[in-house]
Amino acid sequence: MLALAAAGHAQQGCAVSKDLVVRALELVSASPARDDLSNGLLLLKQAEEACDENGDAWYYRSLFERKLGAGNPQYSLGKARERNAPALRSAEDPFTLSTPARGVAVVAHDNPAPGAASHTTRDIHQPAVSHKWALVVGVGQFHNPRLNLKYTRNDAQSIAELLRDPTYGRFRADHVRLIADSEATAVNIRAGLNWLVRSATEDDMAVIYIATHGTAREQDAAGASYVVAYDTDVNTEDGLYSTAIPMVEITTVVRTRIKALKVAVILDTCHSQGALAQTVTVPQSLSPQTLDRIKEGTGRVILAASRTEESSYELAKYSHGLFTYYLLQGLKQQKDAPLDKIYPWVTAQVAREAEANGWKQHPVFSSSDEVSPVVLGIAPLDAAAWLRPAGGADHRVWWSVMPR
Amino acid sequence: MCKLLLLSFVVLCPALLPGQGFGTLKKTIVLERKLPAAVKLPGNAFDVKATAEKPQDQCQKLAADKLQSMVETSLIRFNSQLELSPDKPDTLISLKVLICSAVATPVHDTLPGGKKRGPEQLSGVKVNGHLQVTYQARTRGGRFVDAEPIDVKYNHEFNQVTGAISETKRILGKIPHPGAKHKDDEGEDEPHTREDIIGIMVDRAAQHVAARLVNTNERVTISLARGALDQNNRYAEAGQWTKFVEDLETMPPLPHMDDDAYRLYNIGVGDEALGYKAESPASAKRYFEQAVMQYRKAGEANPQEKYFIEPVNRIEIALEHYKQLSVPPGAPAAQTPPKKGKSN
Repeated sequence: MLALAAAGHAQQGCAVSKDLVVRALELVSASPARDDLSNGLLLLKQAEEACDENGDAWYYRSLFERKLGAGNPQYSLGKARERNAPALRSAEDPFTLSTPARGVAVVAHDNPAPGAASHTTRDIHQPAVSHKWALVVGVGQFHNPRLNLKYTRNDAQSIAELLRDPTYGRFRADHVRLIADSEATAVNIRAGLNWLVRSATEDDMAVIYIATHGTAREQDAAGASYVVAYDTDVNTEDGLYSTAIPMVEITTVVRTRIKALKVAVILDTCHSQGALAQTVTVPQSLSPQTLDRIKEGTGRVILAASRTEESSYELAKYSHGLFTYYLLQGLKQQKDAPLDKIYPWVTAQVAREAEANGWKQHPVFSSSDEVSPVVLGIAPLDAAAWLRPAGGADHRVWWSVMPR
Repeated sequence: MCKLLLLSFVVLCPALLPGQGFGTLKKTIVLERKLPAAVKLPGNAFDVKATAEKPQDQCQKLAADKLQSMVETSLIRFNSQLELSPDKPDTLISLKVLICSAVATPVHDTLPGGKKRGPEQLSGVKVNGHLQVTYQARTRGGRFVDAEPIDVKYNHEFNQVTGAISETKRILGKIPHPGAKHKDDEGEDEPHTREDIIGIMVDRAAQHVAARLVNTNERVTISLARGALDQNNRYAEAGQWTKFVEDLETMPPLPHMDDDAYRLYNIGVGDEALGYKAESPASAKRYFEQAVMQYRKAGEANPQEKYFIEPVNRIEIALEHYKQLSVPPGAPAAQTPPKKGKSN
């Protein structure tokens, strides 16, 4: 079936080639099945045939070939180099997780003592977080006004404020990057993700919150494949493929590039009432496969606004998306609780209110492991230097009350 | 008996054997040759004035007359927004024919020792043509837009026994008999008379001018080298150029350098095809540079093969266009924002 899908794309342009690469990467996991690798390789070859100049197709092909022990990875890599492939420049490796096996963190020593192991293990139950970083994206106004959403900007703004609030989020103000509306171009969102990658070390916490449209490729209703940025062209499929951000790009960043042992991804992709129908199809939430991929590694939690077959809604009386509104309430009411403890309350409230309006919306939660809960409100170790919480409590007190 | 038949076949039909080369039964493919304009015209109105340096020279006069109408037609054909406006042109295109000649010379067969067989052994006719034109494009106010000397040479040897042998044969793609008018199934390039040869040269000059000023798109027929490469050629026929090039690049080089030259030539064809398909001018330029390199390597490996020469000229013209290109061709035009709609 994949072969047929790929063949259908043959002889088309570079935008389609990019989507074929995205499709191949969607098959990647830390321990991929051989069939997935073979299908991925086939898609990448089709991507090259559709657009030989797509260096990323050649680069990822070399990785797939290496993984499969087939083909000529050196040749493919040479082609990627000739084409100055962006994925090669940034040394992307979707097969290698940035965080090691669940429950245990492996820490590499720069200068191991002679005879000593070059790695040690570290108990990740230890809740200490050195720094906390957040990328918050909310797109309400789009370059194409037909796509405009009412409250996504407000959602992002409120999340950023809550994270910076010394009482609740306890993030340093300059560690929260808010990108909204016309600033939320594909380039800026990618730059934001790179900022997070660069900033968050393994002892840190990283949070990604995105509120915008999520779209599926035309022939696919298995969940959102792309996130719509301010400048995404949704008039044509080619435009969409080349100007939206593939969901797999975000999952790859979380899986393989962010080194932080605590990462939360929160996606509120809003219902568009057919605004995107000309190009893309609903549903607009994450597919189970995407959820599985994004949580690979250690300390990854994902909250999505709705199930794959559902949409998420905005509610005028709250001036928020339903999901984000209750998430904000939950985070305020249980400020020291981990997200997996807050989620049941949020989903119950969202489902109840949605049903009262004749809708169906059930937020989804998924995590890589149960032993490393993510508490957004935890005080970072350097908090004393910049945070003056009311009542003079220090971070040790906050840890002690943190539910486990 | 079978062996005898096979031997006879081998002796009588050497051209059909699977050696490296282009073979008598040529394998050709057609490429869409897209070239971006080398300069940007200041407006859509234009006028063309073609003159002969020596109006009394019949060849020059004929060439100038033909050139004027062919440049006008070519420009409008490639860009329908352009209009001929002799009264108020935004661009004035001036062409002057400096040299025009078309000469046919009898060719006599030569014995292996270099001795001529004699006048009765006429083997064909060699036709040489030369057209030199200066071209200038200026705005109505006289501002310089573009200028280039154009030099077209036509060298064709018509051989009654083996068919045409010349570097332009592949363009013409036919084997005419000298002096005889062919049936009208060979295409318009068929050189039958002196006037036909002038027409071919003028057509090339007009294409050259058009390619400077507008985005052009022409179909180019290119021969593929055959022999051990026949299997691989099916990818070219299917338009799978990436696979075509990859197979050629990863196969072991052919044992003899002059044979391997044909593999290198085919890689050049693949790179050239990828260049025409490329979406970004930078990529197109890179493919053309690679194609030139492969064609040159092929020429060095087998200097006897005339077919390796012309592609280099063709690609160098393409390269020149891409080098001068400042705005990517086909760059998406600014979209008019749709009317503001209401979302939920």
